[in-house]
Amino acid sequence: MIAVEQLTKRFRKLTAVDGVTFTCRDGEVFGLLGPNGAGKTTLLRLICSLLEPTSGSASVDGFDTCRDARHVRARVGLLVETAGLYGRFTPREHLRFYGRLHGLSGSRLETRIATVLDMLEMTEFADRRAEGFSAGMRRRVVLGLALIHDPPNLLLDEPSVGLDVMSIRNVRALITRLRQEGRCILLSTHLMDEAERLCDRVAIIHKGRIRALDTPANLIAQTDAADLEEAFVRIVGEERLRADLWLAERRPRWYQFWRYVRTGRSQHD
Amino acid sequence: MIDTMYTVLLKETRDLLRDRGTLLVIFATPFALTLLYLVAALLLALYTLREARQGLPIALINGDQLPGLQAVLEKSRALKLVPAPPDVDDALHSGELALVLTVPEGAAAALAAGHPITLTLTVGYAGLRSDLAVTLIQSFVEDYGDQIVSERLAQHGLDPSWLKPVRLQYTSPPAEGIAAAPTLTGEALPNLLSLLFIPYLVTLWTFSGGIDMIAHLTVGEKERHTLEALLVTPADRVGLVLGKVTFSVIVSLVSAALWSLNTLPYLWIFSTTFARIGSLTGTVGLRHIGLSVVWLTLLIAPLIVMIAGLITAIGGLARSVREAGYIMTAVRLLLPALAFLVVLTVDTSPPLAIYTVPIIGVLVAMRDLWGGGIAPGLLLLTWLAAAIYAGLAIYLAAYLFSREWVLWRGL
Ligand SMILES: Nc1ncnc2c1ncn2[C@@H]1O[C@H](COP(=O)(O)OP(=O)(O)OP(=O)(O)O)[C@@H](O)[C@H]1O
Ligand SMILES: [Mg+2]
Repeated sequence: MIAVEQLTKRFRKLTAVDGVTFTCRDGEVFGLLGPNGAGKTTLLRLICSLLEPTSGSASVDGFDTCRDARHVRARVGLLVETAGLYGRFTPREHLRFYGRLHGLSGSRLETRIATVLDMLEMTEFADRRAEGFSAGMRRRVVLGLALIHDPPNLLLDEPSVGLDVMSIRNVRALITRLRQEGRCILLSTHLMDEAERLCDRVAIIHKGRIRALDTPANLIAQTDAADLEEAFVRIVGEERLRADLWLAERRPRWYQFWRYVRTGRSQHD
Repeated sequence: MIDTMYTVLLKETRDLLRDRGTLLVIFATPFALTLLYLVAALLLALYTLREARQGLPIALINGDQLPGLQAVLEKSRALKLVPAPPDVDDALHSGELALVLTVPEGAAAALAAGHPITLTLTVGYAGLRSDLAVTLIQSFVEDYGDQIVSERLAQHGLDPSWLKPVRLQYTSPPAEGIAAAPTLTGEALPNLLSLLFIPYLVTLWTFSGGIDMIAHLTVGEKERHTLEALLVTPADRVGLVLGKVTFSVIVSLVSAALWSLNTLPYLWIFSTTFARIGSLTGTVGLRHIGLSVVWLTLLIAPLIVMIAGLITAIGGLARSVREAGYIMTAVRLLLPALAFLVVLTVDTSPPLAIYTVPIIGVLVAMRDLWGGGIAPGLLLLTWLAAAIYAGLAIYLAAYLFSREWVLWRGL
């Protein structure tokens, strides 16, 4: 179980996560929806104690992320959003390395590796070095790293990115299975149909704040929308449009120039 | 902690073993260089031998003035007296002549009257052959002078030793305490040489590639985006850092050892070729070389671990491999310079506290060990202090490795 209470994370002036409160129960898939930069990844990092909260707290199975970081990390599997691999190691070796770091060893580790390889359909390339892997292959290995220690809580940051249709179906089936096994799953995604199909509840996050939290069906009903995508756009879209216009008007010339120097893009790109 | 350390060490070792390119550069370069030096030394020796056998072509002008000198030169097999060609300068330029020795007009008469004479040596552009010829001529002319002096002394019924009433013999006091010195006996030159060995050793180590490894192990994980997955495991941070540091220390020790193999051909050339030519009459002897290496390694080990720990910490702070690369360059420039300064400027019997100063203490102790010896207690003090600093550096690295502001820099 994951419980988050008034969680806030500030990076200098930027507030990435702003007073977020929710609970994700065991056997539940909890979706995090939000535009780019909403604070989803930051939120997940806070929960597995990779980041320290500025204020508020989070706990996993009752262990506080600040005080019992090691317990938290042992009970959480994080699918890292932008994870890389060691090019000279095979998926099997990756799993072995991370399994050892999780304290597994011997035949227990080897059976677990075999299970994960099988679960993610990696047996075919399990003993090929990772350099030159396709995006989908890499993604599956990274997902394997999150599962190797059989964690009761899963934080999945955009699990279907880069996967082909068959693999996406597979991963979704896997998530459903993991949920049935009674795990607590936090799922960050940009795919509305995925959220609608998989999630028991979703939180729509924008600029670090939860703007709405309910079951997909309720959100659709509340916003008078046809599906979750429309509901999402209604909740996030208008506000975002307004905010952007407001900012654009306010930014002075020198800022636009500075932005162009730094990013090579003008405001209208 | 030990488990984590071992796991990381194993992984890094395997990674390096599979990284053929890096492995080649780290381990094969010293071998290639050693081979190159050996070949160069061999060629040099062969060349010298061949030239000496063929005889270096020199011309003696007005040789008939000094028949004694001419006879000495003619007797030498290494020199070949040839008649002076019409255009001497041209012959010297083309390398046809190694050098020309000119005896002034009326030299015989001047010598007979007891006046000193000046011979002119014109050195040609025949490269090493000219240099060899100069060395030989110098010793022959000196011998010839000695010969005249002894003849003159004999005329007066005096013994040649009458001219050199005082002699100088070189010895060193026996080393005190523990000494690992390769004793250099003979002429006075070696003292500085042996002092410079310490900066040389430090330079060798900083350039041998092991410390670059550390930066890559830390900031490299950032750049490859593997750090986050690593840190989300409950693995002990100290264990992670220790694994990486141990790995780099092993690599740097091995590669530094390989690099120091290059010193052997140098020593060989130095002690054979030059000693034989006669510019260095002393012998460069390495006594107890095995023991020296053991002592020096023991002493330098905590220093290496400390610097490895510090670089791990700095590597964690760096935003990119490039930034870490520049930090490495700074370390490479600063550390040997510091070693150089310490070895040359710190007094021979400095206050005890010096031995406990980070980095400097070890350098001073290494110098003592290499030179006149060091008391066992002092050695232990230095080693303990260095070990404590090494522990602190590892702890600092581990601490920074769990600091959020460090880990997310540049990500
Ligand atoms: N380590 C950091 N230092 C400074 N700012 C950060 C850091 N990590 C995240 N941010 C900022 O926090 C905000 C939220 O980022 P986050 O990665 O959580 O967004 P996200 O919802 O995951 O976006 P996306 O859907 O694109 O993955 C962004 O503005 C980002 O620039
Ligand atoms: Mg994200």
